[in-house]
Amino acid sequence: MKQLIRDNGDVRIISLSGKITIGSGDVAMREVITENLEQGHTKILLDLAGITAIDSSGIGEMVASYTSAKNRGAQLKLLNLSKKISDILQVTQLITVFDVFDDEEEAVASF
Amino acid sequence: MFLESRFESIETAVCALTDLLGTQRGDEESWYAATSSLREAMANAVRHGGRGTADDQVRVELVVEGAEVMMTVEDRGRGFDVDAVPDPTAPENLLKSCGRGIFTMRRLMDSVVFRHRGGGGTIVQMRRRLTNNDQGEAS
Repeated sequence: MKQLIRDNGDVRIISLSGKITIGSGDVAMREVITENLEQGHTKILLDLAGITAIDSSGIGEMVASYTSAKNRGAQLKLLNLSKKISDILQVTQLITVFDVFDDEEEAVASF
Repeated sequence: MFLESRFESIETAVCALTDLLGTQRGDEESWYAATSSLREAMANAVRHGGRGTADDQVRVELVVEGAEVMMTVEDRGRGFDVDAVPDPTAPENLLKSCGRGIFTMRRLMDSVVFRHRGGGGTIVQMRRRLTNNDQGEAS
């Protein structure tokens, strides 16, 4: 998994690409989110446009990161979900947990 | 095939499935369902199905027959009661970081059966029809 970090205003955008699967990207995703939370970022937008595969471990780490952010008074939102990821969030009912966006400016304005 | 019980073996199994399905892999939806479910079954076998010894292995059998893919993943762990696995969509489980693998497999495949293996372990057998696939080949 590769990551690209940038800011849009006061929103930290973490763009991920590659796989978020067990033993290959799941822990790395959690670590990069935790690192940014520890740096004091409270508005984090996870851009998943480049994700080619995600499994239940990857989804689990995403949920853990969401909870971790919330517990710190921060927010974690999702941007650019593929149909597959969107379907997984639908069937697991996590779509009711995450704020999901297709447009970056709209996502940034929502924080 | 027998694979070492380690996470790196998941990709080996998925590559073998992709090779087997090849040009007759059916539609994208079926291919995605089969590879994702194999990942989940392998992850469970590696994570929960070992005895903690260096020679732990997972047996994987992949068959495409007619317009159907059949996958078997067998470990030698202690086994578990599949009926006792909590529903990850229940409100009290929604924010848990684990417990969605079996749920995902059942949503993606036409059939998922768990059996106890004699001598210890779990056998997972999964089937799914490959749509847009009229030819068959076994491996």
